[in-house]
Amino acid sequence: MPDWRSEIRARLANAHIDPANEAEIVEELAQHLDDEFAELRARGHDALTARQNVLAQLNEPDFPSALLNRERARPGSAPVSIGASPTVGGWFASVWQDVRYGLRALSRSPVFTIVAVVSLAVGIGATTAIFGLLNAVLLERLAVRHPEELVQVRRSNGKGIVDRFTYSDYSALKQAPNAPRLVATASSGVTVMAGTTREYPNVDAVSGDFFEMLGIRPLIGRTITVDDDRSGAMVVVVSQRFWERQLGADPSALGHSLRINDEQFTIVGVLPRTYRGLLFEGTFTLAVPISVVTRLGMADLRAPRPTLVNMFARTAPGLDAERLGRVVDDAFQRCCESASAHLIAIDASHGTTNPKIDLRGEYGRILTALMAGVLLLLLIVCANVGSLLLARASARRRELAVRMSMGATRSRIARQLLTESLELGLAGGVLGLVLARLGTILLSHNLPPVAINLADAITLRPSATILIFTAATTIACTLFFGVLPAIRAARVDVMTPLKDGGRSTRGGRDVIDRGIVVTQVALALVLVCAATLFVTTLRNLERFDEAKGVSEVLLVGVDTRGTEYATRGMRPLAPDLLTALRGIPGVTSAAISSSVPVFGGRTMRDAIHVPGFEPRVDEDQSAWFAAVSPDFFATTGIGIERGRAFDARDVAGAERVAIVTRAFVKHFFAGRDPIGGSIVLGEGAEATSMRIVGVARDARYTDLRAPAPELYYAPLAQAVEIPVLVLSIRSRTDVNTLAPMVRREVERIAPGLRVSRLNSFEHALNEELARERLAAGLATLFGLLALGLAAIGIYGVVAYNVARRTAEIGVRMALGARPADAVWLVVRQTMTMTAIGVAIGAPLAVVAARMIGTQLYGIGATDPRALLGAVGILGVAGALASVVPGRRAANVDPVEALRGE
Amino acid sequence: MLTPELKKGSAEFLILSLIEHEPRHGYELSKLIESRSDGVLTFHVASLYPMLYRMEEREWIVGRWVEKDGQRRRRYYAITPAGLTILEAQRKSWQEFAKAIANVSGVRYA
Repeated sequence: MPDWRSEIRARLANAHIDPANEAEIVEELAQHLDDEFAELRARGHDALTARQNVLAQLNEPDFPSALLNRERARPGSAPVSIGASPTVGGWFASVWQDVRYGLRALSRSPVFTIVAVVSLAVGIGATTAIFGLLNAVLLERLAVRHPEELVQVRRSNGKGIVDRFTYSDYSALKQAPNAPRLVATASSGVTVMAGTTREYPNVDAVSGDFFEMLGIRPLIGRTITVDDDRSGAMVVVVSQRFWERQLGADPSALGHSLRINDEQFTIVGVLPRTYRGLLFEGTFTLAVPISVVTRLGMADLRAPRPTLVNMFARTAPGLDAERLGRVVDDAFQRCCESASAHLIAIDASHGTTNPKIDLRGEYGRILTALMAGVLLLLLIVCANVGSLLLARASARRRELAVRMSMGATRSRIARQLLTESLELGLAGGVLGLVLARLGTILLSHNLPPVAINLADAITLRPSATILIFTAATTIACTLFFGVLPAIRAARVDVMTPLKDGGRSTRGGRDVIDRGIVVTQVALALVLVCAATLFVTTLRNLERFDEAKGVSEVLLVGVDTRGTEYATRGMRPLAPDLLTALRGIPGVTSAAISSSVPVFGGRTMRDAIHVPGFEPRVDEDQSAWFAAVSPDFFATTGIGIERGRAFDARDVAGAERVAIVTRAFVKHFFAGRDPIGGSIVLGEGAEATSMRIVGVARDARYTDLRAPAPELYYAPLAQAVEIPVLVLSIRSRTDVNTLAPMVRREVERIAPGLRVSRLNSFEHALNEELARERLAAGLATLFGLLALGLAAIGIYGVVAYNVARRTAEIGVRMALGARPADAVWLVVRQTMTMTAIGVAIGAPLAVVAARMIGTQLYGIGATDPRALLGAVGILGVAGALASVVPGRRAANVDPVEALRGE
Repeated sequence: MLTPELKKGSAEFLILSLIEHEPRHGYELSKLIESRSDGVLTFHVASLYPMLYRMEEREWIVGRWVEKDGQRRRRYYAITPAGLTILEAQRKSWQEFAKAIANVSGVRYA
């Protein structure tokens, strides 16, 4: 009998019929042809003719397509795929089939799906949140027209770089032939009266074409114009925030007047929220024409010591930043003082930073480190999901083998599995975006004060950049964790799983599984080690031991600038103010000083001469100094080590005295007794001498990471007038409840005096360490997550191994092995994997630690304690992960185990 | 000879008639149609089975694998209640059609 089946199959090949249906159709039709053939033979046809006649029946043109109806007729037929589809429509249909099939397969194992999606979401969410910050700090450009063209002109004089120029320089440069278009802006703190409330924002005094050059469109009204600048118009544009906060977002506020430093300005426009000024981390509030600076109490533009301005320009085709720098420098050399200074143009597209304090750099470094950390974490997550998928693919070997035996191609199976991975990735990505949003809000509450404006920027803007980043991350993750399982699964050999009922499913998987776990351990080690370093750094910095009882001290920053006290001076008021503050219930002492450690204030440096001190060649003798009232040392808790503190004797006109710090003594009085020694200020006839009466403990005023400075204290009463002062108030009661009373007393004694800041000493310390706390907190979080994932990985492999080797363990037990031996089997495996992971991870951890070295304090990047600590933590995690499998191994009952075979 | 259209239109009616009282398999159906029409009507595999499947899809007939002792299993098609309704309707309209033809053409219908 001829083989009709293959003939029929050949004709059905392109019809894409569900294999189960196809088998039935083939059977039914073949029977028919058998009967036909038998009949023809019975009638006397020879075999060949009979065969030809029978086959002719199959050759109707619409035969296979007519059969397709049957495909649809079958209810509940699983869409098992066969072969690749030749048409585009078919391709889409098969992809759609993959998608539906994938969703069904995932919904059948909800635990696996939830674990995979949630861990992906955590990884992707954390990565996105950190990227959001990084984007805001390092990548995002200013909201001006063509920000990439914007440059700032700076002056480099060999020693350093300054970004401020006299207005005369600006004018001369601007009029120089060939000079590019330059705009100028100066900034100053002012007092603004809006109704009955007072605000102390910064005002930008801008050249007339400033906004036009930046391409800033007002929200309502207009911006500052060239005419305003030329005529010295008393006009002001305000930020959208100010308009909403102080003017009730009322459009009719245009034309109304605003009192700035007791001068009336007319509001002519509101600038949109997106404009935050040209400073990185800037907060734009007000802008006025630069020609009216004197009305705001700023120095005259043409005075010998004028108000200084920043200059900005735009690059153009054929005029890049470097060329533009050369052009303005040429002009500068011709028009202005041509000392040794040279002009350069630097990129200002992301906002400019102070040339001395590179805030963006500081944050950039820490965020880059965190970004690297979170990417490692994501890698661990992917490894975890990958190994879950591998385990799942093993469990599904039978299913896959069945599908392959029914004609599914390997590529089709791989595509199917990859589709499932994509679905997981997509779910993880979407959930990750939600988590990232929550994380960003959480982060923004923990940002250091200087970065608050950034927080504003990152939480307000649902940015396309972030979405693209998340999408790319998700796809990369999917490929990373999905490809290997897909390839492996597609390599399934059809017969074995079918024969053995899908029981033995190991083989080469062992090596891959362990490899993944070892990788996880290695990466976790890097993260845990980095976290240890960051936490230690925070601890070291928090151990601020120069002041005692910081939680009992309230600090109040006051600023005389823009008030009547700018000219009258604060010193005459100091005694009354201190008396009033001491009168507040609970207050034990109060002091006033030019600055307070960490909290800040005015830090000053003076050229000094210390008799008996031999300076090194080229050493310019100078020291920091602070002016303080008598109770300063007792109030702040900075103790006097030797000699005496200042007291009522040390008034203006009395003998000038000073107290020096230990660091000062070490430098200027190496080996000599400083008490009774002197510090000389000035030279020749103007020289004044101060007698040293005491030695105070060291205190770090500005930078907690730097060594304590060589500093001396002078009595406030004997010092020059200082516009920025700090009140310190020590109290037995909770200092945070003191604030209203303190404000009231300040307003009573010095009406109109500006209280710029009010915080507990403790809070100031915390704020100072916000960056370190952020780094330590996030690094710890990442480290813990990595540790948890690695532990889960170890658990998975070891538990599986115990289950697989139950029979073997049973045999050993039956032959006299003790439970401890079974436990040892488990422990050995854990230890081996952890040890290999540590061996690989340790050098990586050292490299990573070197990279964050500059962020550390009080602990070296290669400090073995951090690495050993991290190794210990991983060891404990590994031990914990093997507890359950270990107990299971110890409790193996030989009889049961062998019966199972 | 019958035109394909006429053949196609009548085929479903013939199949329903043949399985009205007992289920039959595909080969039996094709042989019955061929012999009862004295060879005027023949259905090959390639047209018969798609038609059967189509009718099954419309739920006029239902196919079932039946195993009998000593034989290969075969797929038998039985008529469904819906199929019976269709059969009655078609029978009626064929009768009317035949009568009309006879009346007009003078052809006597057996």
